[in-house]
Amino acid sequence: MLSPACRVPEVYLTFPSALRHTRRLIDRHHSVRVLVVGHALVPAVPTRRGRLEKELERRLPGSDFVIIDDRGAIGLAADVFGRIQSEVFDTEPDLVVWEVGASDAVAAADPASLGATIRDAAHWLRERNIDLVLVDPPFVPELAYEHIYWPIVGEIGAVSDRAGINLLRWYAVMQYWDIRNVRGEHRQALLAGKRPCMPELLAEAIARAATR
Amino acid sequence: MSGQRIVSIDFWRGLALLTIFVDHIPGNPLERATYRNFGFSDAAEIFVFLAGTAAALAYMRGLGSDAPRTTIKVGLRAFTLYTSHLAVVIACGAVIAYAVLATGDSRFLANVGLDTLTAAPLHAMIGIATLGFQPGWMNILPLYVVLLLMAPVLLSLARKSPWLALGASATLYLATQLFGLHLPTYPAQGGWFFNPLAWQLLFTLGICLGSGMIRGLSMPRSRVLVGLAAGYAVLAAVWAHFGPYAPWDLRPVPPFLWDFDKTNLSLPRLLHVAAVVYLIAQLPVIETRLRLSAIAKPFIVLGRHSLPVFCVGTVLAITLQIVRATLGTTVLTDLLLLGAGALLQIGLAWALEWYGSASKSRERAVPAAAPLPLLSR
Repeated sequence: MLSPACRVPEVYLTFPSALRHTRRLIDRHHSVRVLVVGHALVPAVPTRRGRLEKELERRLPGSDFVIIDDRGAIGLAADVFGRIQSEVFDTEPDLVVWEVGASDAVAAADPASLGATIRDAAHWLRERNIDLVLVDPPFVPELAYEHIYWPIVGEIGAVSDRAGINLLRWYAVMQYWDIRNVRGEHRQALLAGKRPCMPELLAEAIARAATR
Repeated sequence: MSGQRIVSIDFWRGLALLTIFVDHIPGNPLERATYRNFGFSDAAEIFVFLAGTAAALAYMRGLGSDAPRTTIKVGLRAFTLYTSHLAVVIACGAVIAYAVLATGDSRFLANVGLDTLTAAPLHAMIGIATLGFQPGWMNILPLYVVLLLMAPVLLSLARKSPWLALGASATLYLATQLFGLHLPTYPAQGGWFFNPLAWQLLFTLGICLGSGMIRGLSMPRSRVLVGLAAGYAVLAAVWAHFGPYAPWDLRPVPPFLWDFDKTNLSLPRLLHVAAVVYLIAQLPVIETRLRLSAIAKPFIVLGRHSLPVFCVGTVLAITLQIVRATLGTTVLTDLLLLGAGALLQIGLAWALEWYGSASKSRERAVPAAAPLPLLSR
């Protein structure tokens, strides 16, 4: 199902928990409203139908996904969680996809606080019957300061493991690809900060967790 | 009023500017000690409230004597703010672009939302010019632009009666909350980070305070009100300590009545800033004390030159975010960087103060000196 340039080991496509609410909506042929908190997953120009939407509907025939873009959510995870709450009240999504951790890494924020925020957010969303998928930050090789991302990425992974929170390990995926070995358009896109395969991988992992 | 500038407003504005600067560098050790950690509102609320008060003091009299000219003056000020915002976006964009080129790390772009600029440059240009695209940490000035454009109407209403202005403003606030009114972002879908249609109520509250000051009125003193305001401020401080989240879901009661939404300035935030302002206004002879205080002086000067200080502070904050990430950080280096940033802003404010006084002295001197060449003929 994955295009050749986007192939990754199975482990990156398997979430620890099923997306029960999403699955129920798909089974009943209802639309699934996806609140996307982050920048790389939705097109900058909304007139273009997003790749995430296309990839999801291709993998789950008959389903209807409505993507709600929240690009305004910038800042530490704690601040973004506040914004997610307001967005949830406002847009009533069924699934939240949250790219989390990059700002916390840049700020050298306390990983334990980030972990607590993620747990709070997951709990808060679960209470409202909303599914959650996290996406951790991208990896950039050969940077002297890359280590600032390690505790943050480690904490996100640890919280995911302990609490069974679904996580697309984008940092590990990019390490696996190792941009130094990637060629062609895919390399150019990655160098430009674009994430050409992320919608595909995310859609694949969501589709698997929603049909489990 | 004696016509003398009210230093309390400058002082609190200066303090709010430095607080915004510290808050705009997430992760630094002083961030935990700023105003927002002790309640529901943050320095942005204080800044907007004081902007309303300052607008009333600057323009309200003029609207009475020469409304068209004053309206144009307000419009020109809004245009100055607009161009300042564009300059800030360009300068911050250049800082981030340099960081990306120097390191090869494009994550810095996404960190402030500037990745839209690389993903859809043409759309982003339109968005920047129309204020529909506001990068992170660069969204207060667009709010202020719109508030100033609304100011002539709000000030005119407040001249007739502050209750009239408050009534109109509160009606718009309620309609915004109940019907989801907002100014659209572009190219992305959604609304502005600070929704001016909601925040105008706080601006109007500031206008009403300024209007009262012009009329020589003072804030009503009431033990009940002081008790309520203090109780609410303490509750908010305790609450903020445990995290600014609403653990409950009281829908169908409208969320703005009980959540902590900054974008639409929810009621708990609005009440918090109102309570804090009321309590500060009860402090005895604060104006005289501030006027005599050497410690207050730098804050007063900062507040007096708030626009250039804010613009430079924003660019510095973005720069320091990148410096901290790339060069590493300790408590000591953080304090040094923050101190240097604050000193730069204070230095700028002093320089502008000196330039302003020197210009005024020259203006006063010119009429006497100008006729000399004529006399010597």
